[in-house]
Amino acid sequence: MRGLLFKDFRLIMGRRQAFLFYIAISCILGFSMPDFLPAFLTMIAITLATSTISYDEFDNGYSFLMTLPMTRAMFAVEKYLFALICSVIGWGISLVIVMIGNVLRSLPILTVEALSAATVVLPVMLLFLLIILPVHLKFGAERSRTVLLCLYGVTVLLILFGKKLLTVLGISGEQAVSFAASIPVPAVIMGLALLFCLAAVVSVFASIRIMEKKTF
Amino acid sequence: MIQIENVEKRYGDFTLTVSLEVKEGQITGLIGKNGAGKSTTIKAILGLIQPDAGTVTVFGKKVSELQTADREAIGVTMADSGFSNYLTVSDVIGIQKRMYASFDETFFRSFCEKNKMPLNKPLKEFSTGMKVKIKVLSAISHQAKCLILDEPTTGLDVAARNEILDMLRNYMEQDPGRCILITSHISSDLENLCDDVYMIDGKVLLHEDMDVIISQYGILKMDERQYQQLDKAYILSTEKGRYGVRCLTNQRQFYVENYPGIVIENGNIDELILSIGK
Repeated sequence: MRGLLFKDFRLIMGRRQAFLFYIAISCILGFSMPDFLPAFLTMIAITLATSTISYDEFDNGYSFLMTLPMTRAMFAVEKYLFALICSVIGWGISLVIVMIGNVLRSLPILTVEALSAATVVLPVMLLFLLIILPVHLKFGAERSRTVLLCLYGVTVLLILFGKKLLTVLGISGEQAVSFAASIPVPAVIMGLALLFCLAAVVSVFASIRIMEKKTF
Repeated sequence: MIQIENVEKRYGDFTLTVSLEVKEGQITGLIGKNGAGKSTTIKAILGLIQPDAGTVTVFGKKVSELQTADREAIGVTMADSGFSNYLTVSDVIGIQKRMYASFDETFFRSFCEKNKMPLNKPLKEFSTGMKVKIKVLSAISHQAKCLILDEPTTGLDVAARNEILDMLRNYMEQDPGRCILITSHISSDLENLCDDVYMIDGKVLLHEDMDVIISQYGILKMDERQYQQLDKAYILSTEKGRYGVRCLTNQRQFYVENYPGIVIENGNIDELILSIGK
């Protein structure tokens, strides 16, 4: 596992120009759109982390990688671990840039609201990671783009269907929102945390299964 | 060390059926034409494909049951695969150091130094020969008990090939309990290296000790009249052409003694591929 993490770390460190570009963009966003920066940089970190899958599959790289001393499950789990580490680093850097920007503009270093908003970003982005990683592993870098587009389409359709269902059931938007607002915050957090954990377990096991079924 | 028993793999019209064994202390060659199933056999041993039938065991265990420690004892080079070309030699050292408990970093670095290999240059900027050396070096630098090498000398000049073969000979000399399974298109490499050889073309056509091939196999060249009078008891294959008849035998001495009028050449792997692999 340590060897794989080192490999992926070295692979993305090879993209120095991309790093400099993203840091420059982040610095600009840190001043102009500080609320958006944590989402932006965390997403960039996830994209960079998952791009290592493209490096692995390039030039039949998988064939050799699968002969190294590890199980295929370890390979899949390492991708999650690496992406998680990258996401947290990206998220952390974004906060640092926002704080530096605030100090330079003589604003409060970090408001509770800004920290809360940034804290919400991380699990949302990780949820995105839980969806894209098995898709990347299953379909490869190229085909996964098409599959993800289809998944977004299905998600939009489900939202529209949910909205229609509420209308059919005679529940207005306001009623739904007020019902959601009536649920105690700790219960909401607990429920979302449970759903997140469930999604993580499903995603990791799906990825392990995908890798174990692959032939090279 | 490696045992393949009645392994079958089907790809459309092509079916590979193979049984072979690589014994401790031996270098076994796997030869055959393009598409004969050499790489498929290697992939079956490494668990990269799932055979449709049969069993593959390495160190007495089924491939699917190999643990991480077992895999540490296997060194591999693949013909068309390896560490990412975007990594540097330093990165390869870093990866191996973290993956193999017995990785010999000093040996690896001193080899690179001796061969003037830049440590911080991406592999994509290396020559073919350098890349192959890194592949073989990676395979032999963690005290593997068994090497599985798919076409490790393809695309190299004679000097580079000899260096690779020397590396493999040294590897075997260090520990008699080791073994190598190697595929190659270059027959002279195998003739100078292997203890035994399997020839396949969808199935095993021949398994013979290299010494026997060199000392007992031969090519007989004669005209049609001589061929009619020939005792064909030890003829393995016959090819009739415009300029006469060519026969492969595994009893060259018999024909040397009894047929002084025909041309008899020593056997070699190229002739085996040409004669048996037809």
